[in-house]
Amino acid sequence: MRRFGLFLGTFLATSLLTRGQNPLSVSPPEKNNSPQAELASFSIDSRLQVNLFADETMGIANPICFRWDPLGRLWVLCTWAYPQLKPGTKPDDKLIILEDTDGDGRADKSSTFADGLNMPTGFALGHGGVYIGNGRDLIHVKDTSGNGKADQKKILFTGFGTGDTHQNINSFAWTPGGELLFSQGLHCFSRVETPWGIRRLDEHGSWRLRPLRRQLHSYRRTSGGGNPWGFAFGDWGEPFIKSNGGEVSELLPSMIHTDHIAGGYWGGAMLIGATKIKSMAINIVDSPHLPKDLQGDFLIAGYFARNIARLRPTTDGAGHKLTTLAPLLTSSHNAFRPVDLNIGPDGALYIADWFNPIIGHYQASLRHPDRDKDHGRIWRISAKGSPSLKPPSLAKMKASELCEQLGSPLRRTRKLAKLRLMDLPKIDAIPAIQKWIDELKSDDPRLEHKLFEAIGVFESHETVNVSLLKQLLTAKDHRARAYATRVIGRWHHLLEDPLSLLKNSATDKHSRVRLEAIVAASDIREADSIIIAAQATDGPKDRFIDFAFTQAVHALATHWKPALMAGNLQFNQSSHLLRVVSTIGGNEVAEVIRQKLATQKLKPEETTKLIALLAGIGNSADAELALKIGIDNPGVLLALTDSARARNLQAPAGAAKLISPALVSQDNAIRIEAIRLSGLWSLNEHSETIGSIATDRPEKLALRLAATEALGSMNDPSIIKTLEKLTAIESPPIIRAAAIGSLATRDVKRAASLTASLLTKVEAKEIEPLLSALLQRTRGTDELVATLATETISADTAKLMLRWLNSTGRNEPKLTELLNKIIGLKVTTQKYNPDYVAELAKEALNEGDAVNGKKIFQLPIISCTACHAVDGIEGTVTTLKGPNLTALAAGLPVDIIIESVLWPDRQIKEGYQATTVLTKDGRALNGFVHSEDKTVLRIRDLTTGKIASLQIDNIKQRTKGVTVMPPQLTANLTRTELRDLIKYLTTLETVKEPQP
Amino acid sequence: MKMHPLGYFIHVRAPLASLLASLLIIAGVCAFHVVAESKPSPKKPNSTPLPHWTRLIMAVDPGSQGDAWTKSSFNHAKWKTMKIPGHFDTAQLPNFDGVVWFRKTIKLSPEQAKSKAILHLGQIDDMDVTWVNGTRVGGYENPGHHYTVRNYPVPAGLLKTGKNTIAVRVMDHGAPGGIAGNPEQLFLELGKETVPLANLWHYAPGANLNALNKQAEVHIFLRPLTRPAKPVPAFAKGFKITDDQTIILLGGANAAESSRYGWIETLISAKHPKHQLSFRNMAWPADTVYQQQRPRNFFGTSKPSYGETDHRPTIAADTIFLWFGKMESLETGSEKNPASFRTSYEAILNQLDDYTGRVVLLTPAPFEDPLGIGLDPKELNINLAEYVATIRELADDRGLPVVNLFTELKGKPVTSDGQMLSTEGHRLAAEVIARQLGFSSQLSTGNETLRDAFITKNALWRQYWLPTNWAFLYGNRQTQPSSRSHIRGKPRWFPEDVNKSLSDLEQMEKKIWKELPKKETD
Repeated sequence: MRRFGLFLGTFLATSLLTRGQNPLSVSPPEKNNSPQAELASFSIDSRLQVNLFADETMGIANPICFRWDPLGRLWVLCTWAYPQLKPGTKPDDKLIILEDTDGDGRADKSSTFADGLNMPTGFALGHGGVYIGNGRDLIHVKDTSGNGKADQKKILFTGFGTGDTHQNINSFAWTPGGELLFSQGLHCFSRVETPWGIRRLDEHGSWRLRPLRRQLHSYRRTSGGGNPWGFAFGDWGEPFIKSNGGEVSELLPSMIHTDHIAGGYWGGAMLIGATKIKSMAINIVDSPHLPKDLQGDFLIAGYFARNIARLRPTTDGAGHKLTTLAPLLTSSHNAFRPVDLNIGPDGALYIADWFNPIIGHYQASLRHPDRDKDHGRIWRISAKGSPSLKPPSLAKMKASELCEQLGSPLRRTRKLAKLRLMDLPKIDAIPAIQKWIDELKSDDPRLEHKLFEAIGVFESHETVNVSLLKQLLTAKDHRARAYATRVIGRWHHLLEDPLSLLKNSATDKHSRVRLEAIVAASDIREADSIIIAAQATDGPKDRFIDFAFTQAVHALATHWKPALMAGNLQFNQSSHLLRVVSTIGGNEVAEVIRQKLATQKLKPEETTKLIALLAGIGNSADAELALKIGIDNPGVLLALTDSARARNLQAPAGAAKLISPALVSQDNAIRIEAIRLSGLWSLNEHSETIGSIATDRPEKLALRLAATEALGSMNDPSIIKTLEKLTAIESPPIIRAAAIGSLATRDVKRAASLTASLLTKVEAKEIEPLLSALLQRTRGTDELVATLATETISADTAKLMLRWLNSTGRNEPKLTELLNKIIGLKVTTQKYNPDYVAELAKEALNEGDAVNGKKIFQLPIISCTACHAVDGIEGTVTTLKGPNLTALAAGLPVDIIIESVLWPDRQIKEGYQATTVLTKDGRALNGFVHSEDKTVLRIRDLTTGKIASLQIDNIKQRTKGVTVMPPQLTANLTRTELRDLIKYLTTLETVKEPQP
Repeated sequence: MKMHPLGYFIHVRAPLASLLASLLIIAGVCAFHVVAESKPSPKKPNSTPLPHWTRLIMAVDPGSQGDAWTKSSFNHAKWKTMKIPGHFDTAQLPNFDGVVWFRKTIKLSPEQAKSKAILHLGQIDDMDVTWVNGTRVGGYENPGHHYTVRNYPVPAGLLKTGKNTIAVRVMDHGAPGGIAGNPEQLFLELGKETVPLANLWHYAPGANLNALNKQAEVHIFLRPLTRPAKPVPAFAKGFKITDDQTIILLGGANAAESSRYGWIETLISAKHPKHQLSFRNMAWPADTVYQQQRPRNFFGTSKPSYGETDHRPTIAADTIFLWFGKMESLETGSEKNPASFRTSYEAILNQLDDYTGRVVLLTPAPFEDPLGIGLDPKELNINLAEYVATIRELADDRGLPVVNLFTELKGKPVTSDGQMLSTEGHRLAAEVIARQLGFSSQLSTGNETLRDAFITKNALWRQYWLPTNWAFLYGNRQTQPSSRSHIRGKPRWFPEDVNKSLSDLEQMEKKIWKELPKKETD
């Protein structure tokens, strides 16, 4: 009932506005609050229609969230006590069941399942009843008599924060493995006693409950934006989280329990996209009833903007990225407040409408009379002319039949079938699911996905199935391997050697699997887990992996630090150790080791282990000690070499003398590191020795190579002669290339001229190492171009050079132009022209031949596949220099595709801007930044494909923003070829898994 | 007149929001302290708990780290001198509040040393402890004695021929302080002879008030407590209720949850129908002896930058039940073991000494695994038993009643998940409490009505004690429109709303008292 007349209402509106309130969150009530008036306010995609499913006449008001059950009934949680119970009143909030018994798309039956609730903010059906977040308590209510009304209430946990009731525990969602996720907001400080100890969560974050173990885990800052509200899972269990700000985040990397917050106070979450203004809840569309182009899109309840927002996901490294599209529906009625949304059994989209002109908790008095407590609506959005889906009768099915439903193409069916399997007694569910997987055919196109669904059933019954786990870990589909990796973390306490199972995941070629490995390793609170986490960071720079790794280092610190200090932690590579201690604890660890070495009596092998560790993280004084004690140990010397290279560890005083014995060691491994160190530290005293090793034919090639490379950074006039000698055609090719590289640091002009003459003499396969050696040095390209202007090379050599150049992704216009000239190609550079684009687009779409286009895509001369991967094309690269194009057209319209191909500089995908770095010591690198801290920049060099660590203070010049895609790649294609290529690219849409 | 520097002595029995409150409080505190000091408390446990201020001084005062400063052998020649008597604030130590040590050496003849001696120091502002030749001869260690004249008999044999040393540790907790009587009040009485002690003494300032206040920071979960109007001595012969009073329960989730069932309140009230008993369940989920979390500004003592202070009245603590130990036994880490449990528990008991002598300790119920969730109850209980033993030791040392739920509930299904008491577990626990405290554990039929009344009353209490939307009530979002009226210029409705829960509760409580059958139920 409205207590204010028009006059007062107007006055309020004015005064609210003058107080600076946002009319989107607080506005005076509309005159007409009928469902008809609201319905008339909707504008929607012309292919869709809206109808009222239920309103206040069905007993609902302020519906906060809803869930479908296997019977096709809609459970709606309603609160009248919100936002603050009035003193002297008994709370009587309700969970109401709505049914559409005649299938006309309108609820015709309503019953109350539970009442007497006190400001409940979330619920989930499960375990024969309902889990409800009821203020401070997580309760489970059940109907034991079968009369449709809850008669049993158990308090599972108490102590959740209620400091701001719109942030109370909410958004209950089952993971694919039967864990219950829920979230809390900024003013909630939760302290919960569990049989496993106290679990705490300060401010916003999420909880994970393993119900059969009564085990809670908490994760801070999962959503960004302060108040998480809404979860969604991809088809392979990829978790996403919504804040009730605009943000959508990738949840996985945040699921590492630690108090540390990565990224500052508002950090902690991996944002992947956002709506323009506050919104909540996510549904990832999967319904054949709705238009095809909606499938896979994220629909979000825009309670502020009064719309249903729409975002489209694409993969982005180990995670995802969202592009905002136009909203699906908008309303001009100021009480329309969508707060939850989900696909119904008929395939239509249902919306919970909180119905309130005031949505803000802060922005208006909690006792404001305009806060509506009388209305609440459920809207149904269906597709015009599209038949309703006929859902299977899950409620009546036996365990074996429910297992069959796990193979359904519909996510919603699989989810509900799994919910039922979780609810069945273990003795019914487990044999049935085991039988089902035993009988699956090995050529079933959905085999791996079915196994993925099946393992979730085992998880939900806390039943370990090692052979199934191992089968998934070696699956072809990386998403299956990724999920299985997560399960290792979950089952770690029941598995024999979980860390060894994680090893393969940590080195998986797909970054998503490696990300899962880091998260799973963090669940295993052991020192050696950090080795797995560090291993998993090898690979291209990825913000999701970086984030998870930082959190893992913090989460596991109480375990790895003591082990490391005791010398009991052996990383696979010293760079892994560095990655860990450069996140936290480097100085602390070094200090402890120094103390130990100075004060304790240690066995020789212990001393060696510790000194090697100190060499990896310590300073020059430590290096001196390491040379004194560890000169006869290759591990110690290797650690010093890595330190000198990666973190610019300076030579200690007297290094040349200390290193001398190693240069003549019997052990070649020791000699090699000593040679490298002499080079890295420019120990000129040894230039003669090293020069003679380089030129000494009977010596091992590896030694000669190390010596040749070391000469490049030594300062002795005789070296140039030595290096020139080494470039002679009699030298082994690998030595020749190294000599060119070293010479280029001393005399780039001479090196270029020698290279040019070598190019005409050497075999085709040697062109690449020679060019690579020269072009990595400052002015290497310029000098080569100058030389080639006078020296003649054959057209064939030029072709080989051009092909290599294109495949590296290096953008060298001058050299390309010259080579094209030598080859005899006429290249006309087309200027950007929107008309040309429109014309080509039309032509490509109408006349293009995608099959031919695919062939062109794979042509060596234009080298697309050297940098871009497309799922299903053999031989495409795994270390990507360019974006994965598998779902290119799902995210980009044709004109943008054309622009990207012809003028790559105009449309650079985020994260694919290359950086060019010139160093003070004469190196020229071009590639993607891998990581960066205060002292070191790590860059994945495109020429070599390797990560180079550069000291920040060694960087002379740094240019960002260029694309690595050469602009003239397609210049040699005919108009028809170009048209076909574009056509092919437009067919690369989101690849949904094959349906059975 | 002295203002007490620490807020937690404030005692308000009824909801007061008037400006007069502070005046009443000061009057109350002074009145209280004048009568408070009598003979030392009759309770004589194995270790005597230190008085409040002395404990703080011992923790931070440089002269109180050992007994060197009290001894004859200590050389105070390098200390400065001050003319005594007089307030040190107006002499060499302007505005100093805290501990100041004074020492004086006198020479006695063999005859003098043999005489019966009384040391007269006049008035000391505020507290003191006094030693002669390293032996304590007297002291007033609680506030309220700034006008008390100090006359300390010196035990025979303590004085020696030749050099004798008097050491006085003066503690001033605000405004001027010192040995501040008249010169003629300062003398050593030796039979019929007197040795004047006025004039120059050596002195050295010790811990200042800031350091002491820091040390005095009360456990946050004790902030809502205040001292009862009359001092509450310890139980003489076990637990007994002999007057109207407030009974407080402190602890974690099980203690907090007991308010949903009302068994404890019902059993105690039914046994004591003639007394008006107010139960206040101040437990909080996950409170341990190590850590107690409260929302910011919860019973805060100073006005926060983001709004008003929590206006709710503090609660007089007559009898306090403490129920800790179960969650602590699950804590891992280097600093979490039975020894640290004991230290932390003792720190709480020490602070409670300042409120009441009537403290009851409860041990936790044992672990079990009724749901088969993978716990190892045997191991857990072996570990928990060490914590239980620690609680019993603490009770023995301090002469406190203890209720051993751990032993009594062993082998009975009392929890819902291994840790949280079930409905039945709460009933059984209350019965054990009643039985071990020496009264009936049976409920008569009429008492079910009483229990219902308590359940309703406790629900009101929880609304008052743990209000939802704290951020807007007294937290850092008070400035938002949420807790204000939608009509401009009107006061905040929220504090008023919450106070209404308290007055409803008090009404309910009166009704319970009135309707209690006036005969004890046995």
